Amino acid sequence: MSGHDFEALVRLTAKDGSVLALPGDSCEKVPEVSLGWLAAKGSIKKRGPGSGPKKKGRLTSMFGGAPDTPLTTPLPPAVRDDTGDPKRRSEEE
Amino acid sequence: MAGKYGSPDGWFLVDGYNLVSTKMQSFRFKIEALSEATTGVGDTWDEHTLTGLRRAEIEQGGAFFDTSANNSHDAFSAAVPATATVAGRIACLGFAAMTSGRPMTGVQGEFTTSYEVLGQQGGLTRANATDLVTGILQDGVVLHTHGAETGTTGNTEATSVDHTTEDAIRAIPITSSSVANPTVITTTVPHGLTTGDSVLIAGHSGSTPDINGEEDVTVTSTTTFTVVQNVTVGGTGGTIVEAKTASGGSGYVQVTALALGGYTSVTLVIRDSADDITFGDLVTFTATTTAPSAQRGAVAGTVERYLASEYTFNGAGSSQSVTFLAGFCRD
Repeated sequence: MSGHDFEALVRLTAKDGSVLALPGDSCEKVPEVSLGWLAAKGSIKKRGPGSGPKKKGRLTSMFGGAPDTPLTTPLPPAVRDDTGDPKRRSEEE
Repeated sequence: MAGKYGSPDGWFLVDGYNLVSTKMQSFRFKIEALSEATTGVGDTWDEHTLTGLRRAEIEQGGAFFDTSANNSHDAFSAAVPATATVAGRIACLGFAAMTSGRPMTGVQGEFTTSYEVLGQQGGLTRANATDLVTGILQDGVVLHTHGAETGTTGNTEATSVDHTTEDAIRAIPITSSSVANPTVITTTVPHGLTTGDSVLIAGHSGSTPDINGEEDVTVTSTTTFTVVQNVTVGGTGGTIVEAKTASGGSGYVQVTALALGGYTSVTLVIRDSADDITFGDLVTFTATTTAPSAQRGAVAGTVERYLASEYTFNGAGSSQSVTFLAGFCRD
């Protein structure tokens, strides 16, 4: 059992008062010995698949160019094709 | 309560007023079970039947009449309710010295129903007050002794209160542990536990394996419970004391003085831990901006074995100070 697998639901501190995790944070700093009782109490929860460490800041270009423009315009809604036939849809268009 | 305590040990705080500073001469709380006389024709003895209601009353007596800020007149004269919808007061009191781990009583829903000032020829004027409790009266433990803190943040985790060593904790004698999986532990007197509690077993001898240590319990009767141990040779003797509790409780804070020094507020928190290594927030009180003031915060579910308190000033400033008491009462 690793602290990376858990997310804090309450603020957790060490005995010296230092903050180990705030609500929503990964529990990587929480001693392994404490994970069991914290999970049983509901103070931490298992993270879902794909919920790895959150990266902070804007994405930058993969090829070292200028930072990408943040996506502020929502994507257009997907067009529903009731027939499920992509061919027919392109014919109608 | 373990031990005997004299008047220097008593303390009494109501809504952030420290009544010890008013030189009160006595204080008491009384809990009674209400009953109704049910004697009828043919009975030869007076008969009473319990109604199922309990009543609590708190009284402070003989304090010197003092109109200076935060003294008894301030605390009680304006507290006699003028309307039927007034909110109850919050009180914390103790008969043992106010040190971390010592017992306290927490009260919410206390109404000052009488306040009297007694002038006398050749003597100082005194004031008495009586409060009735409509709500909660709980036994608990002091986590932060009434005193001033001047840091920007601080906590009592280094001196956390271990429930198994509290002054008022009862050690229940064990009769035996059975050969079973899970083993059944029998106590000589009612243990008072709830399923989900844990106990610290000590001094139990002869069992295989050794079951001394902390164990979660499943209650099977008032004098028996099981712990998750496959015992192949039964043991005898030793004691249990309650460690974690499963029925929630209430945190209490009394703030008697506050200098924000530019900070916007101070937040008081009660924290718990199962291992005294990592602590989690248990009760977070509403940020305090004024004194005197008091709060009670209730929680449900598990309250771990170790308890501590914390204060944090919010914002920015300097020369800050908060004088408070913090305690917790397990249900």
